[in-house]
Amino acid sequence: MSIMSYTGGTVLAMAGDDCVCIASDLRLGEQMNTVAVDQKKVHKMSDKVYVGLCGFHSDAKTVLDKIMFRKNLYELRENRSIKPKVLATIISNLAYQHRFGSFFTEPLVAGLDPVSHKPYICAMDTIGNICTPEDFVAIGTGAEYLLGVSESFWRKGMNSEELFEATAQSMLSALERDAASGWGAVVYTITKNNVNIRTIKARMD
Amino acid sequence: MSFYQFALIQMALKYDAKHDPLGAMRAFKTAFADVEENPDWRSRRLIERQRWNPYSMEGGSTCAVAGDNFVVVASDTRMTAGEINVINREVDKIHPLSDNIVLTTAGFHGDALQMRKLLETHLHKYRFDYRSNMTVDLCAELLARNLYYRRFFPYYTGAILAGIDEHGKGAVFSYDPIGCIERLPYSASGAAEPMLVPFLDCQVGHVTLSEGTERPKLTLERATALVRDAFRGCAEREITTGDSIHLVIAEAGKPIRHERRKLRED
Amino acid sequence: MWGLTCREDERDTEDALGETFDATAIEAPVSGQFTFPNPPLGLQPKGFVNAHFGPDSSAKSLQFRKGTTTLAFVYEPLTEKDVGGIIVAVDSRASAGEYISSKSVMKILDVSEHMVATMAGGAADCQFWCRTVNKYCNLFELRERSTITVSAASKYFANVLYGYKGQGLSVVCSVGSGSLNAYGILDTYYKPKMSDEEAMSLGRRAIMHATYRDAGSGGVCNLVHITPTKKIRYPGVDVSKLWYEFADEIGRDIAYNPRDD
Repeated sequence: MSIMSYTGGTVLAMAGDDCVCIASDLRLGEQMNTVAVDQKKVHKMSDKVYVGLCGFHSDAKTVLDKIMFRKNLYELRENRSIKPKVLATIISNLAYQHRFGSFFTEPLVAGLDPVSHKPYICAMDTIGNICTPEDFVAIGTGAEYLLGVSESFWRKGMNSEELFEATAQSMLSALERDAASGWGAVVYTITKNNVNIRTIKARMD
Repeated sequence: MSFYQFALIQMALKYDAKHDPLGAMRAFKTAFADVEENPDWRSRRLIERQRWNPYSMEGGSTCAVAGDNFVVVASDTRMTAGEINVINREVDKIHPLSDNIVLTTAGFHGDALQMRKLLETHLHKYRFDYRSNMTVDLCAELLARNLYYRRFFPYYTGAILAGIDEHGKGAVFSYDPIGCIERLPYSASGAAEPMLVPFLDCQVGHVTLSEGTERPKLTLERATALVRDAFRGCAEREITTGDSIHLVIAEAGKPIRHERRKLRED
Repeated sequence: MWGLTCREDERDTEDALGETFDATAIEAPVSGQFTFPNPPLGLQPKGFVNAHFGPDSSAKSLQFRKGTTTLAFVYEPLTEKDVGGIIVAVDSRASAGEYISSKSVMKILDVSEHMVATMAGGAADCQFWCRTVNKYCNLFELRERSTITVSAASKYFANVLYGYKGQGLSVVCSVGSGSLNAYGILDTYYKPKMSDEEAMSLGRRAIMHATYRDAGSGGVCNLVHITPTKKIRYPGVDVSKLWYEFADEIGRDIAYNPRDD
């Protein structure tokens, strides 16, 4: 078992029409043992920008602190709320600074632009190569399972309700086959006006 | 010099058996296993042989869905070498063995052909001996045993056997490479198995629907449409799956039908 | 032969398929004479199989299926109405690495009229060898006109497996990776005298707790009750549902609330 799947966990982000959804499972494991079932991998960065961190949990925690520090510094210096694209670049730079001894975590950024409300999703590898598709991105142990299902569920221009449904169904289907993640999931639906947080009941085995 | 003597010498160099008997025993065990695996007197030729790889992965994926009186078997038709080169775009990975038994394989094509030959021989002999066709249950059990007979030199294939059983119901049997057999309502194998199976879980197994929700009935039309959708999704994301879908539809009391649809070719 | 050219004196005597194929392809192997074909060139089967099908091999979708949590315990009847006997309970997940390759495996395999084996470890190994023992038991009963004892059957099983020592077979006929958690429940709630209802719910609960903590186990809980006279199979119960019932029972709040946002 590689270090990337030591603690397990999966994050999925989908983009719709002026809205994005970001979902994460709740398991924290130690190889095949489940240690906690209330550990979300999605973290709030600003009103409409969220970041997901999968991979080795200890590194994810460290990276989260480092991201927080840089984001706060940016907001203080610039005196405006951060754009998701800017945050992604910050994280990418942070990851690449550790090119020859990288953190074992894959970051994902999802959010709406604070001014234009354009959706933005991106994922990167452990050394910060940003990949910004227009439809959906998945990281973590269940990424492969998510790709197949999300590909069939995603449509252009979904509204926030449809988008939530697509994200939740994709997530549940993937958790069904991934032993390293599961035990419930939480879905953040980010729209122009508000952020809707919903937990979904999943299998507990 | 035997393995035993050799291991003893290796161990004696490191441990004093009188003062650390447990350590010496442990060291002996590891040394013995090591010597057995890689004896020091191996010739260059032997070392070369140990790196010998009889298998190659030709990619592609297959799946099967069973219904009340039908079974839909699908596979892509691409054959790749080393996940990069496409060496053939029109390979048949579905092998109808008789009027009601269909074998489909992903993995090493050489082993798949060998497996098909083996099963065809068995089916032929059965027909000769008993003057009737083998049922899919029997054939499934036969395949499981023949896969297990190669326990120490397995076939490099993920096989699925599908067909219509003696009650006229669709049957899908899924295997691991050494013949762990299970009858399932739907199954997939090959490179895109992790993508196909959650989709089928969701759409055929309805595992993500909450209780009491109405579930659409699995008709032949729905099954074929789902399988096509599943493959379209995989072809987008999995590089060794593509070119076209080969669908084989077996219905109770009807001859086997073949269907081909285009997939993306890049 | 095998795509290699070598001089006559260096050629391997071991030729698994070349000459013997025609004979073995059609006839079912005669027990006692059949040997499993080994990889050619004198390669060690365990190392060979591990290199091509193991967790570090390139074929991710061709890993062997493995099973995990199973348990069994004996109990005495509590009242006149109960029968007592043995409860065998298992989960139903088969995993290949982290991938759950099946959610509905039947891990309780019949060995004889009054005997079952549970499978953990290599799924194919268990299925095949349990069938072999099953055959031996049937033949024994026909030959000796008496039922085979459990210890005789398990001795035979052990002897067969010992013959393949060091070749990488993995058959664990009782427990598995999730068993530590199951032991915890069994140790706490097990009593020598129990009613049938109690015993079955104990078996199910132990499996449920094991599946909750162990990522390698899950699915449904299959259960067999062996009484002094017969063997009763019970339909599988979804362990996830069992867990939600349990949470309800102890009044645990299952709703998750993200705290910081």
